[in-house]
Amino acid sequence: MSLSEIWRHRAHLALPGRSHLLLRHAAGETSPAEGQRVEAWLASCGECRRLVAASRSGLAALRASAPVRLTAAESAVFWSEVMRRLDRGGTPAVRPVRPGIRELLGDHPRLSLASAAAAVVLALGLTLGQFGLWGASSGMNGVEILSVEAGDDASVMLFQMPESPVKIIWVFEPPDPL
Amino acid sequence: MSVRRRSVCLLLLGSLLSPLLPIVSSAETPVAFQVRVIHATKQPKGVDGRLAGLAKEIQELQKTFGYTTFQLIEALRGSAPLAQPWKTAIPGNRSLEIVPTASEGGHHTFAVRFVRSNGQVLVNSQVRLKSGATVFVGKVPHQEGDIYIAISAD
Amino acid sequence: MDCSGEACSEPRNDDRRLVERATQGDRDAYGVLVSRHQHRMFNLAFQVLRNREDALDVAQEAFVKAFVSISSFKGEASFTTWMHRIVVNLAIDSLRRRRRGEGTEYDDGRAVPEGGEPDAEAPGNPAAELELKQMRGLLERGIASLPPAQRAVLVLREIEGMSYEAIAQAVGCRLGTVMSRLYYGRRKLQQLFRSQAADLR
Repeated sequence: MSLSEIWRHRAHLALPGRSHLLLRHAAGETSPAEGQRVEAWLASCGECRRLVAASRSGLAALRASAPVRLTAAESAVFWSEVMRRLDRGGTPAVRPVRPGIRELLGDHPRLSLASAAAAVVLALGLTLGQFGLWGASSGMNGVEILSVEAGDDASVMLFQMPESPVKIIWVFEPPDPL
Repeated sequence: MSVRRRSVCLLLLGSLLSPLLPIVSSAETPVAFQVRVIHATKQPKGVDGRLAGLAKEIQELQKTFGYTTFQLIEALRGSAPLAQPWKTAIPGNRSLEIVPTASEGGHHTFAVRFVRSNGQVLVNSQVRLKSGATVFVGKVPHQEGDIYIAISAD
Repeated sequence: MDCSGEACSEPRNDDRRLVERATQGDRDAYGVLVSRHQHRMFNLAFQVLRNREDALDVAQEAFVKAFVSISSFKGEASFTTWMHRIVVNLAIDSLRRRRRGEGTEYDDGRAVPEGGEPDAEAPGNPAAELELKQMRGLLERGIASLPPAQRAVLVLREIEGMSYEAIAQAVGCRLGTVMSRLYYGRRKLQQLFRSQAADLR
């Protein structure tokens, strides 16, 4: 799997269990059983309680956003403006704006660090491999990952811990649907 | 053809074919490996003593990802002839499939597939392991932690 | 809200009839559809873009685009769902273009959306008004700092109240992507409101 293929995959990052659960609880999305477990846990974790409270404040503020309506004047001319644009020849075919690398990484902040680390390691590995510096023909410490392909619904990264021979075929897949 | 000539021909044929015998027999000889299903969490419980053989790797996972508990959920000894699949279920409605594809001089190549319960392949990889070496596949979120699968060549 | 219950079936059927007529080039029928949905689509565009002018532009473009491709509307989903998808994608594109054009990163510095509704929740109560203003400022900062796609998903879930599946359909991505974007969007809000609570103590 080439480096560019790794980058092109969108990472459905496995969400950290606890943080995800707290956010879902604050949003009112946990099941009764989950909710009870979370409440029991919150009873002994002050910082977790503050996080849930902060989440609830933020979501409440967002949900309370009053719907924004067109003014009477805007409403009156809306349809005529649409027709004018149609008469002008419709919408010219504009290619959708692809997300930049920064947005992709911003979408998945944790992936950015891991990806950078993996990219450096892979580049180093390829370079060292060129000079036969991996040692045994099975790669460093006897492990060589020859190829990796992700299925449609997942992304994959080769992760080698810095200064360690431990290699992980790291699979990112979407959590099971709610 | 006389009996003598026939014997000589058979002997010659045998000696020509004999180098192929290791290949044929190795294709049928199962390649052995070990699969350990490990549950890693950040709860304060500790490392399962049965993972002593992976002490170095466990230490690295601890250091890098901050896990504090490692529990061995399952330890399996698998084997399969070349090009034959070996499968096992993994917690989280996944399954692991290992197919030995080459085995020579203490180095073994495996196709490793990670599959969803509906048959959808999540990852398909080829790894080459020296006897005794271990590669990790992960991670599957499971019960407030993550599952890692350690695959070691015998 | 996505119309899936019986209570919604009449308007939905009516939309369908109008769409059928619009497919045959009946602009008047399409005009009725537009007037029926324009406020909602404008609001959706605004919630993503946080800018009135841009939202108006996107909403109008969305209806133009929908008319041009109306023959491809198969009717499996409601007209609203279909329009949601067009509006959201145009809004995301607009946001990306705006950000690249301005050369700014995610935080485009607009702490308060232009042309939003005036505060009506706390008339005549200065303390409450101030708190409301602070909360709103924080919210806007949070939303402005989100990447376009995360922002869209957060808006669709928390303001439009759409299900995960409906959001995936509207945005044209997988369920896992919706969950991941929602997670990061909510976490951003949590971090902002948490740090404000810490500052106040």
